[in-house]
Amino acid sequence: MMSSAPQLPGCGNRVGSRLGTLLGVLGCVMTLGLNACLADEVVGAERVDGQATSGRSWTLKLPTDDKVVFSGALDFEGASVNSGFMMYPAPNAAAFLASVITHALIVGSQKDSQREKAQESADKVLDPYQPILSTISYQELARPWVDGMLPGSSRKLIGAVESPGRDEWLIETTPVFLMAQDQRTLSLDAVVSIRAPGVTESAGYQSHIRVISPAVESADLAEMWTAGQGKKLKEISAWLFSEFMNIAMSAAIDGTGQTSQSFRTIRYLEGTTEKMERAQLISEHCGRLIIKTLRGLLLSVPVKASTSSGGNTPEITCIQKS
Amino acid sequence: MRSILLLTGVAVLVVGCAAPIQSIVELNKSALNAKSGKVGVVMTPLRKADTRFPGADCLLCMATASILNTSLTSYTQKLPPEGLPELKGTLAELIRKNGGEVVVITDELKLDELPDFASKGPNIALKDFSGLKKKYAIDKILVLDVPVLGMYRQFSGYIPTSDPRAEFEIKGYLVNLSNNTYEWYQKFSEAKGANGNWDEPPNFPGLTNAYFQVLEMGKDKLVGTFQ
Repeated sequence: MMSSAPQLPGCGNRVGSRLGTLLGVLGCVMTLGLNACLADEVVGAERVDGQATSGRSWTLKLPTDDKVVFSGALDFEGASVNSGFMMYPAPNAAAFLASVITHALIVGSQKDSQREKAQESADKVLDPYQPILSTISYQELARPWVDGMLPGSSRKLIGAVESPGRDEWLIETTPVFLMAQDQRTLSLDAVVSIRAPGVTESAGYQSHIRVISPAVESADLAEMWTAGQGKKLKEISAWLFSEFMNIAMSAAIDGTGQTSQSFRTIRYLEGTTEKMERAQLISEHCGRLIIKTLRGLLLSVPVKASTSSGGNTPEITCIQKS
Repeated sequence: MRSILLLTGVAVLVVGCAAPIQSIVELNKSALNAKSGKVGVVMTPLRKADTRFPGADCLLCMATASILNTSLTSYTQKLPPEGLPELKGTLAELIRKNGGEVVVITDELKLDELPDFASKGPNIALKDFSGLKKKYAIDKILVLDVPVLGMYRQFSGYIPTSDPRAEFEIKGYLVNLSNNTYEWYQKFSEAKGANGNWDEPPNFPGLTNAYFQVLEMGKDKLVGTFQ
């Protein structure tokens, strides 16, 4: 589900990340108009429950650009710019304010620069795979999902400018695929929008979903991913796509992702590293968990170490059979 | 010349007043087995999670930092110290598994109510814990102390120079009550920022996630010492 908290100009309490907000708060201090600075604003999430009916027809609208977006996974926890105590020259109020603004601009640009550099650095992990990545299309990755339809239902792909049939559920998404820095794991991250037949765009179901693959094992990971024109890379990416679509469809139809369970710190594996997330447990199946994070993200993750160098990992095989 | 002497005097006073930093004393598990005597496990009063803003050094800077982060502070203060009260029981169980005799002390240990220990030296506790020997009929005391819990954000004057980060620090030490010396002393510090945007009032999900992550990581490291 999507939720957003719009920025309030001036005296909002989404503080510190924007120069305008900072100056607004400084202005508030100076004028002692403090009460006006303390308002919180939350925009509620929207969701439309689908009707659980049999024989549904699903239509996936592909992105305008069919080239799949791949990126290096980045575990970025916020840039920290180290600087010591700052003396502000203050011969008068205007000079004081000017020095504060200049300092804030310098700090802000340093942080933005750090973020950009970190992403650029993270993307370098894809360098050995660029020739193959440029040949992969969403249509190719979505094909196993189309072919995996259940009896009595239908699945099809349409172009970006086409419209679904009257009785068809429309799915719109542009997934991003991420490769972990240790190159053992691929993940898929996407916001998906699903509309039941006859439902307007604004009333559709929206969700943010991330699926993390099991770790692969190989003495030469680059060779493993690229062998056979990137067979393994395409295979795992297509599996992630199918898993993502299945979670999205279930969430839209039967409310997967809605749970009254309390939040707790759940541990899972990303590659060979144990990760933790404050989340609600939605389901557990085939050595994998689906959890709902504090941000409402639906996360499909492995909990057991899978070691496989060829073919599918045990958990992928388990999910495909079930 | 007079000012140099004055500065030197101030420096000597400051250095003279500073408490010596206790270095790590590695845990030898033989200090917690059947032959090592009865161990009491106790915690100091658990502090409420809170925010701090290092680098906001002037009065107006402190006020600005505080106002900039009002929402974060009031939210942080509501976060629970999840799993920390249970640590005494967890460590007691591990000591038992190691063959040691152990008792969990339900009282909170208020360090500032203990007298200072008369002699000073390497690995000698600054506070005098010996009175606890008779009170709880124990030979050693294992103390857990949480000096840092919550969020911090670095400032330079009025300007935030970092995004807020969750932080957790827990100190653990084992004092032999016959000679008031540390048989184990270790500090576990964890800090983590939000993954992605942090500024998501009123519930700050990214920072909340980081908060519970640092709690788990710190607890894991502490408990791992006894496994």
